[in-house]
Amino acid sequence: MTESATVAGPVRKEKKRLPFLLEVIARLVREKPLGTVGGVIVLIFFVVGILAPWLAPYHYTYQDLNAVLQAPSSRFLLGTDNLGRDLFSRIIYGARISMIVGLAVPAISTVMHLFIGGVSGYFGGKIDLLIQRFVDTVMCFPGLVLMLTVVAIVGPGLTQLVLVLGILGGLGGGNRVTRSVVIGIKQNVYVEAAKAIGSSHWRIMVKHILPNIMPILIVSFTMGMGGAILAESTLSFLGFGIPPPFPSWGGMLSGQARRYMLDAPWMAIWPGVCLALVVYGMNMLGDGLRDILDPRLRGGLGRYGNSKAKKKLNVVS
Amino acid sequence: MRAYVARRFALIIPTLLLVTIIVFLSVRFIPGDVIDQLISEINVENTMSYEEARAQLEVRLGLDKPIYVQYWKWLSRVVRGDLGTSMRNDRPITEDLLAKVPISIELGLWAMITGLVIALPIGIYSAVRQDTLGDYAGRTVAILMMSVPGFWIMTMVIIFPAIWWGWVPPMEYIPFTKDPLGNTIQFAIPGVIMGASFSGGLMRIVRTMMLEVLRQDYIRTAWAKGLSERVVIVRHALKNALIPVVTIVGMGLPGLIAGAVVTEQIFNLPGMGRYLFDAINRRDYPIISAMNLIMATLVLFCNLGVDLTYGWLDPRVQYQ
Repeated sequence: MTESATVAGPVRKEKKRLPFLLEVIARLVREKPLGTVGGVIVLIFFVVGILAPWLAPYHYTYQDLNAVLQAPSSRFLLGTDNLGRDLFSRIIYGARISMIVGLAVPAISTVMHLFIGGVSGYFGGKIDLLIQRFVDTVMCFPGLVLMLTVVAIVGPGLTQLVLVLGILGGLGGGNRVTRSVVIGIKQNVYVEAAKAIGSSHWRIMVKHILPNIMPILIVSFTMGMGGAILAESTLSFLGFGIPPPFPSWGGMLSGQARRYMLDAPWMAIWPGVCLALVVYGMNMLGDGLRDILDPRLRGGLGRYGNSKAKKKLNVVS
Repeated sequence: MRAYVARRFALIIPTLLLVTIIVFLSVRFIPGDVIDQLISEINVENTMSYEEARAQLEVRLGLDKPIYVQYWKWLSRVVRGDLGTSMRNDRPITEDLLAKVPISIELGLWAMITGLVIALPIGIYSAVRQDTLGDYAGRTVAILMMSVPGFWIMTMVIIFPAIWWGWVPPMEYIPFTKDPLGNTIQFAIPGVIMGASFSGGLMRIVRTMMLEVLRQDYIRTAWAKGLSERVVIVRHALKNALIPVVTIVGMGLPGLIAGAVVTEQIFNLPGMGRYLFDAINRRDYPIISAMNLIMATLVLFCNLGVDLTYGWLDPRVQYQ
């Protein structure tokens, strides 16, 4: 009797809970006003990106050579560029590119963190040592230099860029976070219990570890979005990202356009404002989500610092 | 201590070897169409047959002999400080690079110092006055610094002063020996912008670490002794809070010094970042390899420096 009662208790509780993601969003709105503002900004740009063909008054390649370098007016809300293209429309289509990059790049990276960091942390021993030496090596190459080199080898284009940024991100430092969290979870009694009843490695990883690292993965995904967009725009700015005529916000600030910016400063303002706004929103959202989800930031005085010091000690010894 | 330093050095060697292997092999991943284009560039005057041009290119890129022979030859040259020669103009890379190092260091130091000057006071204030209006403002500024793309601010700095006052930042490199003031202005503008971008992340670390330390028992003791706020914060808390900040500073340094590709491009400064960017534009693969090798080595040694400083600053970290 008592047994069935203890089982029934949590089950009834479970039913009241919202699905995980909805619960997270509800908590974000309730507890983190700044994070919510960030989320709304990101959402607006997503909607703009999806609806770009319907929202933009012109296509992003549409040229009116009689209206080159026009100041903002009722016909061209944000003015036109040196080729007579409507900047407002190009900004809207640019949102689409930024959003694709902002979703696809961290998605690739996060899945790779899950596999590489997860395997490394779960199995430990020689596999861990081998994988971590490799990660060490990749981390030696500073971000932009490595990205430029690889992009220079594989060539420009949206698909190439997404793959390069995603894979390089996936090989880098984020693995460490997943790995350390998996090592922490592995030591829980329920994992030992699962091992004791003969669960396979696969089952333990999927049923017991994966649900517990979900919060970390969501946080690292959100935190990665802003970085991915900034990286894409930087590479496009340098001419190694998305080739013209595609309207990447970074690309709109570079190349031929720079020669005309003194006469038409509106060309320089809006892509930068949009970039800053989107990345700001993403960082705020990521911050809010991290405060809610990251177990390392929950309760306990100074635990975070101690574990960091311990990690350092492990590296040393 | 000495044994620890020796061991830490020994640990670098496998990573460094792996770095050299990756850098060395990367040349072999150049796609075929790029090779064809390079061949036609070598063979502009059509003085050679395709096979001759290809053979010449393979010698240049080190693709003509068995891989391990080439690797050994390349490695032994690199160890002696010879990074090879440019594919375009045959100039020795080491010599060219050395001329660019001071420029990059000057820019990197400006950025690093600005970053610290902005991040430390705001980060500390934010932590000491946690959850006040000032804290919110500080945190918002920190995220803003991380979000606004540096290349955009730099673009604005070039355009708007020119429109408003007809003033443009210096766009030709001014050596310090020629015009110290002009040189300072030239490096201060991009350096401060880079530093502002860098300060965002730094500010957040300072704040987090300060918050953590301020909750420790010994800080309560310091308060209980009746010490002034300034003494508690500066003498007791700050010292410990800054230890992890050393990590961020040390790891950021190589990127600020040698990775200022965008900044050097926009402000036309002939530093290491610019050197790499030009090489990538001209597909000068020996230079690209050399730069990657230098960067990775720099990062490795900065990490080593961070670890050593860490142990020196924090008596809890023991060298075993």
